[in-house]
Amino acid sequence: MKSPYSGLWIIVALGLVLFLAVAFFDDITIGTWTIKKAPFKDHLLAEGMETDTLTADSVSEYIPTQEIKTDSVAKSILIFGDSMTFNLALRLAQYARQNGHSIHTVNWDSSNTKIWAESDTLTHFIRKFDADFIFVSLGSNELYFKNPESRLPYIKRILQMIGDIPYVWIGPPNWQKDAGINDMLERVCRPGAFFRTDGMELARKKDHIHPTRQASALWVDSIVRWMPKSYHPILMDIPTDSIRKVSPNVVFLKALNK
Amino acid sequence: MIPEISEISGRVMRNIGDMFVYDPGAPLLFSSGFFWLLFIFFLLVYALLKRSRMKMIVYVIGFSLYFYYKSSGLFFLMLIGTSLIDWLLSHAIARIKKRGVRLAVMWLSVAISLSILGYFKYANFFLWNWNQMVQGNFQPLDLILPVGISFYTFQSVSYVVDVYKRRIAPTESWLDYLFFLSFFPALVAGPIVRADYFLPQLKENRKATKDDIYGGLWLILIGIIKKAVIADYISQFNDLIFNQPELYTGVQTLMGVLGYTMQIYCDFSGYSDMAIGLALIMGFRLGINFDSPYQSRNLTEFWRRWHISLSSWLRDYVYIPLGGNRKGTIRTYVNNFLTMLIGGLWHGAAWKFVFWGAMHGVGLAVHKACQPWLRKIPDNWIVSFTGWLLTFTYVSLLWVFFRAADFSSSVLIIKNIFVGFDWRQFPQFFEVRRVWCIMMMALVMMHFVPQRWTDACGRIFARSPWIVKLLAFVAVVQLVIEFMSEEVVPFIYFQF
Repeated sequence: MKSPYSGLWIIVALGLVLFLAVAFFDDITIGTWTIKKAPFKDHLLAEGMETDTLTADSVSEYIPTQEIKTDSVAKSILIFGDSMTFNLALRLAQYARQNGHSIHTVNWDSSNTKIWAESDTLTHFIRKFDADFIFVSLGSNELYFKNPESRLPYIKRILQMIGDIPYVWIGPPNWQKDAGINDMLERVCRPGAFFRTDGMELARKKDHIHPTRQASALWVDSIVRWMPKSYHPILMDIPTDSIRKVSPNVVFLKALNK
Repeated sequence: MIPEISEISGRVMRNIGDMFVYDPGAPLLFSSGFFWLLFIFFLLVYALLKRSRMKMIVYVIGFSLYFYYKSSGLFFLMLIGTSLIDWLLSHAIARIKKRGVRLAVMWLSVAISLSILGYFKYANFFLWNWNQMVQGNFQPLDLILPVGISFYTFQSVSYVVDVYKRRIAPTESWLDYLFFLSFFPALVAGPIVRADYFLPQLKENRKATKDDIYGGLWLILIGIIKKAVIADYISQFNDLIFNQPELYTGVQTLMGVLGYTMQIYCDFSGYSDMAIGLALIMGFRLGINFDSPYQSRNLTEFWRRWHISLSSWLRDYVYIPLGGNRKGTIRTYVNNFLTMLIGGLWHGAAWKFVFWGAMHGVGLAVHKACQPWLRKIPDNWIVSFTGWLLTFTYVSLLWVFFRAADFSSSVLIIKNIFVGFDWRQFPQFFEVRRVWCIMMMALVMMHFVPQRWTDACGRIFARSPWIVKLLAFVAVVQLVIEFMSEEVVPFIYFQF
């Protein structure tokens, strides 16, 4: 006797076979619309996590193979990223003033690696400010993405845009344990370029997410203390008391423009 | 060349193998491709075993436990343990003659179920509050909340209470009860199925008709559109507003709040539709869980239409045992309020949920108190519209407290709407968020379509040629792929 399920079984099986087949074929385009494919191929062929890279705890133990001298040339520093950026820039501006660097800030609220990777904003500002040292403050809006590996292409794209310019990627200030973005950033950034923030105790604003202005200043101080161990240290002497308030040059990009 | 092929095949095999093991970041969602791959094979064997009741029961239990393992790891063992304890104690309740002893055994069973729920869900909440009171250092316990524990605990409590009240007899076989408690369509996010409704169906082992099977498929497709297309898409904007409310204008905030109002409905009712559809395909009815709740013209009606399985559970196992409306007007209000307070706490271990529940309790009490006056008002469209607007506004504003990170963020969001509002920002918003706006408008229209139209569409779909069904299936899945966000967005109610 014919099962009442046979029709349903055939419909579902045929449908899935169709999607499976399309996933392995070339892109199908109708006019200007390219049909998106089910991510079967990505899932089936995904490579495992590389194991021969730095581990989560190893950044503080990163030891340069040869002594790295501090670059004493005055820099045009660009710090860009999400809403954490502005408060970081306030303190970094004091360091810049003390050490003869210029600093430019691009703060894009709610932004993430995808947004920066898919726009030409970064290349525009690198060119505009002729940046020769970069701080990246991204990852906070991706801390709890279940699959941090999905951010890998965007992070790589951002690093590609930065190119040979020395940089420090300031890790996101976790307020809970993340789903792996810190480990991944550490893996992808060149050794000595990623500052891991996630172990730090930072006082937070009322939203329990953003560090307070004072905590952000202490955060920057920690980064600067770590910088001699980074792969390209620059002159970052502690600002004297006379440098109290410096207004950094800030470009604010609004979430609405995404 | 050969090593390359072997490397790729090894990688494919490893990735396929990984899909089968527990991954806390990837629960088995009804809207995922992997679930459907499994379901094809599940259905094949189910069709063969359906005629033999016992084989079918064992098979479905096995699949349900695996389904739970994929979402919650080894907690599936706890589910088995809970069911065994419930079943043994329910038999003891049925055997014991003395009322007092029966009552004690019933409370023992309820206490065990609620203690497990309390430990996993509320231990940190109570510890935190205790430490706030005694000014101590709060060290949270390292607890993982098993997915769906709130749902199956309520099922287990209602079963034991119903046995105690002699509304139902305990199942003869433990497997029947384990089937009921672990039935995978309703396991992780409801509906909260009642034993007196479900167990007779299991006993009968009714064969699913073609109308059931394709009606089920129709519900699943509707549920997938609601959840994986609409809710997941509109959530991307809503999350921006709720995560950093200080950054947005009044118009953006208002749209975010309306967006979340629709998102939570689509997310949860979409899941319910899928669960009900899957069960229907298997020949089981779970009842309806949502009945166009945003059409409600007062709060009492809203709770008759929203999460029906929970609100009726709360009515039968909390409100009525507290005295319901039998102990005077004031007690009725208090009972209403307490019931909603418990309902709020059920949603999560945080004061914001308590507040949300309490405010619904207050709203229900106010509506009840106004009933004599409201009955005198003529029932025309102006009154209906006003009632609808007030109810929708109240419900939407309370969702802000439900969703926002804390009380101050909620206040900020509401303040933003009223203080930072400027009509002139609408055109800019529509321009920037065009797809979002179109989706919201489509959703509102869908919500207000009369139920009989939707039912008629379901019937037409069920009787349409197989090629139409295949095309509909392919179109819905492609729609999901087109709108798929990069991250799998778990169902909101998974966390409850």
